[in-house]
Amino acid sequence: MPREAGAHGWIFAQEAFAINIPAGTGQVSSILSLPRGFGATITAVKAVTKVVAAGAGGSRVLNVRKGSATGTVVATTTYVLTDGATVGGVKDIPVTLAAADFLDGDNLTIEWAAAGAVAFTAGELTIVITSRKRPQQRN
Amino acid sequence: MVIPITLPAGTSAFEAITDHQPGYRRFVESAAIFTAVASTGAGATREFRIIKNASTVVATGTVTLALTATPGAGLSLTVTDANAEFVDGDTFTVDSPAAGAVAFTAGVINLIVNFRSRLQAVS
Repeated sequence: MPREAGAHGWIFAQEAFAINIPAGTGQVSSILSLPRGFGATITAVKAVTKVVAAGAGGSRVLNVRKGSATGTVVATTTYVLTDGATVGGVKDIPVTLAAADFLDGDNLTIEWAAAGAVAFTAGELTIVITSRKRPQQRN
Repeated sequence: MVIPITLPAGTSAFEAITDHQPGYRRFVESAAIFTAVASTGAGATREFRIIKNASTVVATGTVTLALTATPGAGLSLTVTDANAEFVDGDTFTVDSPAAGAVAFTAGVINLIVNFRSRLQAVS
């Protein structure tokens, strides 16, 4: 867990992105190459159910990537029907810290992979991303 | 942080986020609700709260049909400063109790929560 620090500590922040669980089984980028514009490290990603998921046997790999839809996987999980059964439910998406540093020019992508997909027919999520960064200097 | 919430149908208790653990110390500085999609439901009203752990009320405000009739309109939640500190292990829940609820039939709101925190060290 983080602890409060002196002048050289980290700033933690959280962002929330509302996304739909896509229908079908094709690859879908819910957010594609969103510029970040500053250095930060993602430390946690959670998926909060906004609208209950539907689709018998629904199962899709959900990736948070650095770069485009083929970029480095920063966090990943297989999201299944039961994960979206209750509005407000929170599903952890484990982060690979070794891949989680974003530099100024790195983009953020949230992508549903095609491989192994079993289709959902409904559902919406709020993706909550926690990140840490140093105090920033303006140009 | 902006949390989109679809206004629940019916009058049962509702949780938009259940026991999310931010994992670092911070304070809720302020919170507000703004309408994203205009609501419907005659006489509709629901209280929305930010809850720390099981039952500590951090912020509260009541959403009504009139307040959510126009996208962009909103209200500030009342924050109880004495309850607004979250430490590492505290959980964060957004709920709407059943008591006093009159049902909405449509509508989406954005809950905007402003936090402040000290610089953090990483273990």
